[in-house]
Amino acid sequence: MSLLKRNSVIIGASVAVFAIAFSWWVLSSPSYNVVVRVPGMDNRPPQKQISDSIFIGQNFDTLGIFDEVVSGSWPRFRGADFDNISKDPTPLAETWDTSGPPVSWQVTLGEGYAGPAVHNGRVYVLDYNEKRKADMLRCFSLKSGTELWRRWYTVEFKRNHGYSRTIPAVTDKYLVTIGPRSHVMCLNPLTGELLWTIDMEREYGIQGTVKGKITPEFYSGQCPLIDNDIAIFAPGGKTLMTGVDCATGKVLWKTPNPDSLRMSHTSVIPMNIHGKKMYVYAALGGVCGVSAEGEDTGKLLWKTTAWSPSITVASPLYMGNGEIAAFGSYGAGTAKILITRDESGFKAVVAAQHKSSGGIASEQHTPIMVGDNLWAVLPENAGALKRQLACYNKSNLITPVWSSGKEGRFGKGMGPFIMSGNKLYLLDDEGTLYLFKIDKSSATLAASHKIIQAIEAWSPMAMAGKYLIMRDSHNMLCLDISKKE
Amino acid sequence: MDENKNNRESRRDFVKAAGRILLAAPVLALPVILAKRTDVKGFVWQIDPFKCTSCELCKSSCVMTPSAVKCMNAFPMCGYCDFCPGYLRQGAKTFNTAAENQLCPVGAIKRKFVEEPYFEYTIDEKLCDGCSKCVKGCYDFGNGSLYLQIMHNLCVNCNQCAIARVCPSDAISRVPAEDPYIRKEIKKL
Repeated sequence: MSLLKRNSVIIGASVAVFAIAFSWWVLSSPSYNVVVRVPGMDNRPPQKQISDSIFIGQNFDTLGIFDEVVSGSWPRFRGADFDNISKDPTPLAETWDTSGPPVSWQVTLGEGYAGPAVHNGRVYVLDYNEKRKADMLRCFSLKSGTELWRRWYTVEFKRNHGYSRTIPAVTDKYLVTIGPRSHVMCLNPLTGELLWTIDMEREYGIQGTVKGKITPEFYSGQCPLIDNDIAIFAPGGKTLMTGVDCATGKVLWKTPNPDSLRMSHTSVIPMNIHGKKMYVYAALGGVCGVSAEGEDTGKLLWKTTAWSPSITVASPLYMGNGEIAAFGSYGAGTAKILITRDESGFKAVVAAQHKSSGGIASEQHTPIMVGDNLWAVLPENAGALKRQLACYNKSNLITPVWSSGKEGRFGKGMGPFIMSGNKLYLLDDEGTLYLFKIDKSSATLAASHKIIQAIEAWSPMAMAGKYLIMRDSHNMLCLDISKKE
Repeated sequence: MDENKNNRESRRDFVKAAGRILLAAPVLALPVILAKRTDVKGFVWQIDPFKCTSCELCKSSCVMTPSAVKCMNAFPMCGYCDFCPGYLRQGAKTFNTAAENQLCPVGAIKRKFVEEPYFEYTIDEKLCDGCSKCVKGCYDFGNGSLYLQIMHNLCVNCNQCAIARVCPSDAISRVPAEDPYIRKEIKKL
């Protein structure tokens, strides 16, 4: 006790010092090193719907005279059967000499990645004319490359990794386009006569909401679909999917969009799953299937929001047995979606998924399925397999059955590939065309040639008859790949 | 006669001596040349951005804390994208400055609105720890404008750079001190 008394001054002073230090510690801000990171720090003003008035398809220019119809058709994105495989019987060269496949013609385009559709001897490209600031549907002769006519309209927007994106859909009677800002045109494919138009931003957008925004980042990449003279679009916003009569422009059906799924860069792909034809769409926010036949046409059959990458470009691929492969960009990887059907209807679950480094993946181009095998050029972030051509069996999307190896890497892994018979044509981003011979689950390089010093040759290619049409950011070339006598 | 002989001998001696010097000179100079070649004076360590594979070892291997390696943005190569894969983490559902959307673990990349749809991305060097997550994102999916450099106001120029020893792609080497940075935009464009 006496000890305590004797040291009371020391103890009191210690307590006082501790109390002061503790008070200072509590009262002073302990978070001086914490950086606040909340939305809005980039000073972006509220996004407003663009209020410009676009007179879609307003202008028309007649240019050259059509020469003759040559055989070959590539009527839409991924060809007639949506598989990116040409069934044209024209014999094709087994290899090329040092001069490569001859260039039949070449034209200059506005900067972008829009691909060609080919039908009745004509090549159609929805270009963007940077001088006129206009979406411009350009029609060329397949044989000579002569430009026949242009249908265009002024629409101003800023370059954002180029301008143009999509591939038209064409039949004998109709041609449908979707522009970078989601403007739709339907025309007579021979004369270029304008039949009807839709401004999807105005028609289906929900002002002032992010989820009601129609045109996605980097502009619209959805290629239109014509199915039995009905044009199919997936705008998002007020309507998930819609069918429009090509003859009249009348909206035949609309699919409600309660989950606010948004337009992605993928395209609507028809599939027949468990005996039912449906339109499958990998939207931003989820994947869905919409009835494509019968009385319930336009009805949402199934959906899953469990697979929702922030950007998705490659379209979904049906692998049979109710299994769909869906692809995400920017490293999101791949999901296997399983569709089941019972008395209550269809159901969808994500059965498996992996990152880009963990199995098959695609940054931009939808893999090609031949038999049970999927062929793809893997993206930059696919680990050891990056930028390689690889083959996966549909039963195992994790481990490839074949890959092109360390020496077989192709640009940045973003170039297109297309097939005819056992030939696979692969264009790397920098303009070298490779010809592979496919033997079930392996490939042998038969030839390669630097076609042009390309910049971002990312557009899907088209094959029609003896022609292979490819492009880079500014040039479109038509190559003669036929077998020479 | 003797005088002539002496003259000849002295000339011979001179030629002999000159020959010896000529033979000995390279041998004597060799250590000097070798020493000069291995002298680090006038050289500094730098990362070749075209060899770098964004392995993240620059963050943890540097003797400095935080690392003397920092990210740089080559503006002439940058796409100024709204959806910037160097700024936004994979799977981000909204494109804004919220912490949960950012790829950089320390928030060292600043995003500023320029005009729709463009944004400028700058690096706060004080915060950057050289982890290279942004570099990988930008290279894999973007224009590859983000890249790493050793900052010479921070680097202590070790005789043997600790990062160079572990760099799996041999991207770090000595460069002349008068040209200490490898500017990606200059080499690329």
